[in-house]
Order: sequence, then C-alpha cells, then structure tokens
Amino acid sequence: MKVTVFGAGGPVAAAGIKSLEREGHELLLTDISEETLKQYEGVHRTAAVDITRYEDVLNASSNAAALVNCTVLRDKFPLAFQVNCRGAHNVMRAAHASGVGKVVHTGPIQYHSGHVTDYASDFHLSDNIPPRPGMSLYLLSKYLGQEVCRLYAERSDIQVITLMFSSIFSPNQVHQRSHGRMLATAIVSWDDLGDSIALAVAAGPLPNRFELFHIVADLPHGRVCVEKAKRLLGWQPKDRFEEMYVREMDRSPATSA
Amino acid sequence: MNALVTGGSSLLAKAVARHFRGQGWGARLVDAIPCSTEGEWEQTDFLSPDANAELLRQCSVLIHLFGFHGSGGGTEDANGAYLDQLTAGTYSLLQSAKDNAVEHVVAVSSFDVFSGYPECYRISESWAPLPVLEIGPLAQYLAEEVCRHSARTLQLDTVLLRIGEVVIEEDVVEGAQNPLWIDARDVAASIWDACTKPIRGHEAGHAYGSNPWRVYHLVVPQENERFATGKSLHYSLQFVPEHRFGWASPEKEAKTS
Repeated sequence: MKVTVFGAGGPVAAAGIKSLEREGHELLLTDISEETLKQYEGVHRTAAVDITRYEDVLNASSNAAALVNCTVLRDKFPLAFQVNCRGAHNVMRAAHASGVGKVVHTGPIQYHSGHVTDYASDFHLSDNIPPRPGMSLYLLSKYLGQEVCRLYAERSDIQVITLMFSSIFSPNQVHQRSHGRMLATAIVSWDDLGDSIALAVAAGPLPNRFELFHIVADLPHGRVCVEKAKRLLGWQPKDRFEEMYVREMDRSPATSA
Repeated sequence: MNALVTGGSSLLAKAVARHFRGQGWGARLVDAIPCSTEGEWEQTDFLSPDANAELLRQCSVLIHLFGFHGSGGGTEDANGAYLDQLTAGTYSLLQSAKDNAVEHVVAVSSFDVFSGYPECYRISESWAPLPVLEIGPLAQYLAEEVCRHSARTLQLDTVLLRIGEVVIEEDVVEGAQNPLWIDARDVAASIWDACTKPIRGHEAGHAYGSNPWRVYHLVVPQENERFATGKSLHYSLQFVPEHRFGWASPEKEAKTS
C-alpha cells in the first residue's frame, strides 16, 4: 500500500516506519526538516513538506492509499496551533481532495495532565471519554486538530484512526531509579507503538469512521483501558515494563528479617 | 470600567460599544481581520500575547465577537490566517484575560456551528455543534471549544451567545425575511446583561459552586423556530428582544387563538 508519513523525521514516525517497512508498504516520508529525512534516503522516497502549507500536503498526498500524521509541536506559540490544528486540517482536506480513504492521526492522551478539571484522579478511563485538554498549549492545540479529524471522518468517507499515547520508552531505557515505582499513567514501548501504526494502516472497516485508541502497555494499575485497540486493531503490546511496578521481594524488610 | 471588544469593525461591535458607553463604561474596539474599514476600531494581532496583555490590562470584560470577525477573502493564506486567529488568537486572548483578572468573558458565535444538522431539527443550547466542513463554521466551532475549555480550566466566567444574522431593524428590506435576523441593539443589551445580571436559579449552582460556562441562543421568538431559546428566556439571561421585525410572537398568537 502507498503510505505518506508526515512528520517522518520524528521518533514516533521512526517507530511506525520500522513496522510499516516490515509489512512491505511503499512509503513517502515527509518532514519540514530535510536533515531528519537523510537517514531514509535511498531506502524510501522522501520530500520536504511544511504541514502548515496546504499545497505541500496536497502534493504529498496524491496517489497515497493512507496518510499517517505524526507531526507535532509542543511548546511554541502560535506555531503549536499552526502545526497541530491547521496541519491536521490540511491533512484532512488533502485526503478529501485526493480521495485518500484512510488517515492515521497520532497524539497525546488529553485528560490526565493533572489540572483540577481533568480525569487525573479517575480510573478505568475508556478510549472514548470526551477529552479534557485544559489550557495546555500542547494538549489543547492537539485536541483541536483531533476534532477537525473527527468532523471530517463523520462527514466524509475517510476513515480516521487516532492513536493516543503518552510516555514512550524502550524497556531498556527505564532508569534504575524508576524500578519499583510506577511514574506514569500511560507508558508504551517504541516497538509496540510502531506496531499500532502499521496495524492502523492495515485495519479494515471499523464500527465508526472516527475511532480513538489508547496505545498503552498492559499495566496493572487500572487507570487506562486498552482493550479496544486489541479488539479492533488486533494490537498486542509486548512490553509490560514490570520493573516499574514489581518490587524486588528479596530486598523487602520481611525477607531480610 | 472597561470592555475590550474584538471583531471591532463589525456592525455588532459598534452597537456593543454604544450600549456599554451608554452605561458609563469605556469600550475599546479591536480587529485582526477586519470586515469593514469604517469606524473607530484599531488593528491588532491576536497571535501576539504582548499585544493582548496590553489590550486587556485595564479591562474587566472581554467581549469576543469571533463569530463576526472578517474571514479575510477566501484565499488559502487568508483561510489559514483566519483559522489561526480564531484558535490560537482566542487561546492567547483568554490566557491574557485570566492573567489580567478579567471578570467576565462574553463570546459571540453564530448558528453556523450547527450547519451540519438537517434543517428539520429544532436545536437547543445543549446540542453538540456540528459544523459543515467549511472554514467559517469549522473555525467558529474550534474557537467555541477553546472558550469552553478555558472556562472550565481557568474558572473564567464565560457566557457563549449564539446568534443569527445581525441587522438593524429599521434597515432591513421590507418584504424580505430571515427568521435568524436579530437586531444588533438587542444583542448588545444581552451582552450587557450577561455581564451584569445575577446568575440565578439552576445556574447559580449549589454548595459546590456554579458552572463558569453558560450557553444561550438569541432568537426573536417566533412560531416553529429552528433554534430553541428556552435557556436565554428562562434562565439567568432572560432575553426579551425589543426589535421583533413585526413578527407575531408565539405568546401573542396563543392568546388570540
């Protein structure tokens, strides 16, 4: 399948590209920074694309069967809105104009940043609860982009799969200090995240044209539900980060006594 | 006391300034993408946090007429700028409003945010917006979302008014009729009321506090109206327009039948 990846120079896309390559997709990798695309030269087609420029996005979308939007900007105002919201709008318009049937959108889980009105103190959060991004520049601008995707999906023939994640690690990156301490609500490994992107690209028809999925490791703390991605995408996270929440029993006071 | 009015080049902004000044307030009119060159408004850029901070420094009310900002002419660049002003610009204005201890925000949007629903539905304030995929309705919906999340997160008292086509009753062409006509002077009076009338009844909340986000539809009462006005009539705002375009109100008809 011909797949265009936006924001291909970033780490989330890198994880996805690894999995997409394995599935044999024909990739067009785009990023605003040509420097970040050099690693793919000679392996895949690459193109410089500014996600805030519709013409760029449209050109990169023609002939694609699926678009994967991994672009993000977190902390620069107003550029965060231009990349995260206007960029998402450009991707959806380009998909619509080019007859692309599928968009895979990526972004952060938007409701446990810890402000008083989000769901930071709730449990068993399902994929479909209304986002509460608060006034975080990053979360709010990504939320608006996600809303644009939802509206396009619901009012056109484009299937949009939105993958939501939070803290991404490699299991071997977990610092010794974190052993025995669960520090994040939602952790996932780069490899598992990459697999979810490839599965989203390959997914057949889903119950709704717009579907949100938590992409989070199987964690025992009961905070975030991950059943939907397993059921509808066939995603099975392999890395469980046990060292972050399993104590070393031979070091417990009772054992030493 | 001072109010900052955005969309300052619009007919509505002029009526708002006149009303507030008539009550002894100051009113400053600003616009980023003007829809007219006439009047006293000042050019600004809502993407500039410094400019917004300066504008709101001595204001106790922000009247954000984002539904009545100019759209810039319909080119690709103009549409992008319009989207940025309504999303990032609204975000920055509201952050500045909070920083400057602004007491009330009145945001004025339009019924275009419901343009995706079939005409046969009667839509109340509690319905979810469903804009068509055009830049105007879409950008207005996103601006509403920024206001909603700002009210919740920053606890900034915010009233959202949705209205139809703003006119002056004496200026409308005899014979022509638009059920969504609303006189600019009535909207201006309701904006004043939104800032000054006490919150009462159900909206006053209870021991846990009141909701800082209120939504009202402003429509001249008429038979078989498309946009229900129960909240604006019966809740705290108690909107009763003076200018009724000679239409028989449902109450009068009920009495005569």
